Amino acid sequence: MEKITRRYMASCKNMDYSRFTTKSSQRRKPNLIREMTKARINRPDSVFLAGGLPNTETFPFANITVTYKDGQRYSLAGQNLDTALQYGASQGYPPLLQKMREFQIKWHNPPRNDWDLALTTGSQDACCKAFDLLLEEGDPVMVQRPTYAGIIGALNPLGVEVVRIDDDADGIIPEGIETILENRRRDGLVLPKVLYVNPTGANPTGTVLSEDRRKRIYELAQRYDFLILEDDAYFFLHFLEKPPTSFFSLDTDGRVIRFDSFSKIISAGLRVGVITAPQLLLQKIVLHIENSTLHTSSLSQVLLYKLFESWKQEQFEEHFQYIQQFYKKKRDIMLAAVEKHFTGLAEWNVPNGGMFVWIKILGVEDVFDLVMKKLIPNGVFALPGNAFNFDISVSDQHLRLCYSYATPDEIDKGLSIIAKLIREETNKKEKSDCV
Amino acid sequence: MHKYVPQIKMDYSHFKTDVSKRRRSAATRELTKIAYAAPHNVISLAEGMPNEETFPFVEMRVKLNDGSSFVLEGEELGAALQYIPSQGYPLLLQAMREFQRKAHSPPLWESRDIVVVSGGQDGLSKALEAIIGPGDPVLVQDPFYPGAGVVIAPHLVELIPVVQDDFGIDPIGLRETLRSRRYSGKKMPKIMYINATGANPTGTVLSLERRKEIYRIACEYNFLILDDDPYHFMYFTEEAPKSFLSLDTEGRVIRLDSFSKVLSSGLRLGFITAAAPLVASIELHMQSSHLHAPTLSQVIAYKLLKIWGYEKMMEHFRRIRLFYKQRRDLIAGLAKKHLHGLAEFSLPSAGFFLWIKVWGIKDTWKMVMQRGVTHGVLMAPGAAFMADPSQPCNAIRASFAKASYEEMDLALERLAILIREELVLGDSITDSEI
Repeated sequence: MEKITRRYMASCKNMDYSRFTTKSSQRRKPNLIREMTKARINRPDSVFLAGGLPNTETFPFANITVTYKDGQRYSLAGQNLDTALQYGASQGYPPLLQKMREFQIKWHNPPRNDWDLALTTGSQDACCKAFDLLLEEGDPVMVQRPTYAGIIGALNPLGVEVVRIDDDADGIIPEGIETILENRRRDGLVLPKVLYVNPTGANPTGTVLSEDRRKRIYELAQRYDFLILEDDAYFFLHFLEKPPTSFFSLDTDGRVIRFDSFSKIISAGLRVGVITAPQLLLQKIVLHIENSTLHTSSLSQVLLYKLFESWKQEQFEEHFQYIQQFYKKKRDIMLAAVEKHFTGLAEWNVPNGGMFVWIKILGVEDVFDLVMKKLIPNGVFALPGNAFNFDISVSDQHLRLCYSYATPDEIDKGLSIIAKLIREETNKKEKSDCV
Repeated sequence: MHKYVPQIKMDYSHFKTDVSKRRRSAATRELTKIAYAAPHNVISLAEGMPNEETFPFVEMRVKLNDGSSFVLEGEELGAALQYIPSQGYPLLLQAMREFQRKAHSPPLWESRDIVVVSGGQDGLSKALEAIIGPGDPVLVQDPFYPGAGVVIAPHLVELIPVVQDDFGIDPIGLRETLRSRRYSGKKMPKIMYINATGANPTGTVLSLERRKEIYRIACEYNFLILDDDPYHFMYFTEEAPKSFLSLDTEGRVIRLDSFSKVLSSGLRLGFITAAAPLVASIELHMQSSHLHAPTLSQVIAYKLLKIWGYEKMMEHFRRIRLFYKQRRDLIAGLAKKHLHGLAEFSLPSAGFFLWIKVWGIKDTWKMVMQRGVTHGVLMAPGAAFMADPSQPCNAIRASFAKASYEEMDLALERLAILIREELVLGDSITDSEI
């Protein structure tokens, strides 16, 4: 870590991050006992009685054997099992960290070298910690609209001012950002320090931000001096010819915090996410990890590492391709069913990534009651668009339909029921309009 | 399902922070909950779960030291690799509810619930952050576990230290502190942070009498008790301690359990048992942070509990007690041998640590942190555990959990040399100060 910092000092212009961090995050302090673990590294022959590590001898596990889909088998025992069952470093299991650093360079070829990463308990854990690091009560923050419900849940309690950025079929609109910022500047309002965005397979709309827009948004970030929180859980789950260009790969200034997730491609239950950020910001996130979750599951981290170790480069590519094909097929089944049942009833865009179709129901002003009082009692669950608004009581015409899980038959049946219920609703409305 | 029957008359909104009160449930998470409970014929296009068919694992086989084993495959493995409701893996929750009921027989059980957290420190931070806002005072045993200190440090709280003796917090001192505070019109604390069993760092176990009295004081002065109790089953006393939870007739105890010391720390599993409205607050915080503790860890813990049942689990705890008690006796013997005439200590009644008070040295910080490191003995300086760490402290905390006999012997020998050198260096108390 020190090496990276030194290199950074020599090679790059400095961004002043103190402007971006909250007062409370500046008050965070390290847990001395965990810090002492590091002192041990300098003198390996020292006797360590400082920490409160339990004795793994008392743990009841003898070995854990994992069989992968390709037939390979790996058995965790002895020292490896001890590592998987014992406390670990807050930043993450060192071999997995190293692997991830290599991946980030390979996948994104970032222009700077003063970044580092940490492993978190899923990527939303990292998002929530980044908000805590960057946003004071009352601070404005730009957020793509509609917004993933978990992010609404994380931002609302902080008492921040949410500045909504609209999107269309190609993702959030740079001109929208520019207009908002210019207007705020004209009106003497504080400019937001942060933009939150899902560039690939946005939740809930499924849009993939075009490369041109990414570049323009990055330029705006430079001009108006804001950070970009790139929450990219669906980065590997796109349906395009070539992989999207991440903000991280455009980040010449050190103003991107990137969130990766293994939840959609390896396992959600392991709860391992990755936060990649400028070193100076990352250190503060690691401090927060140390103060809360301590670290994500060692077992999950060791299992992931062993899996990655067993895969050759082609196997990664194969796995990603397989995932993309799998979900593309599911998307196409969903789209065909949407066309069959909703033509004339709704409007939608073809999602280029993710797991959702976002459809606008015509002739129903607010879908909330439709979902709660009609769909659910009829055995079909779909999410009303209201769930993706900061104010859930505001009317919304959209439904988010997830295609990751349901079988073709279920999709067909589900959509036919929804279509029937929409028709009943609009007919009722027409009748009452006539009266 | 656990039927929640509100029987508690307490108004918990009094205790919650503004941030905590502003938390709302995430619709997506609520749906995961509904979907988990829904009958199989429901068509769900709602929750954004990935399809576990795409995950690269087909089987996990776990073998235990006692020769028994279990296999995760098919649907069960799928569940272990998938998102679950924030409160926890439903089968583990159910097993833990039964476990807590048997282990603590808590009064008002129908008004309480459990949430699975990602280890004790996660539970600690989420519980404290639900209650303690900027400027709030909080009662802490002094010395206390620095893991709690780092959680509250960003929030500008006021620590109210409560003095301890060899038997833990003294209720008389506690009452006196509160009385004088009320008298002087200062803001009263909403919560007390305590380790009832094996207090970190001193290793004391609160007597039942003291627990009862402290609980009475909590009722009188209307504060909650956050009992961070990872060493509950690791006591070395004749009698098993009775938890605050088992005394909690009013619903003011937040109990924090951890599997880290007894099953595995790497799995990151802890449990909060508290009045249902408080558990709900913590669940909301999880919905917007890490979503839930790792599912794989939860499923493994569930399988283990199921295979073992309550009795075998208790047997495991008995073995663990014996294991650490032997180690405590070893370190105590070594400390007597090496530190004779240099320091004093009380025999810890639970936990992992020996709390050594060095004679003739005012503050051990420099000695431990600088010269200790170069001498190859790493222990924790006492000041790190004090409510006011800027004050000098002559204590040192040494862990006896992990080091071998030879290592402990070497460490204490080195410590003795360190102390002797320190005394010569003159960073010691002068005669007039004694």
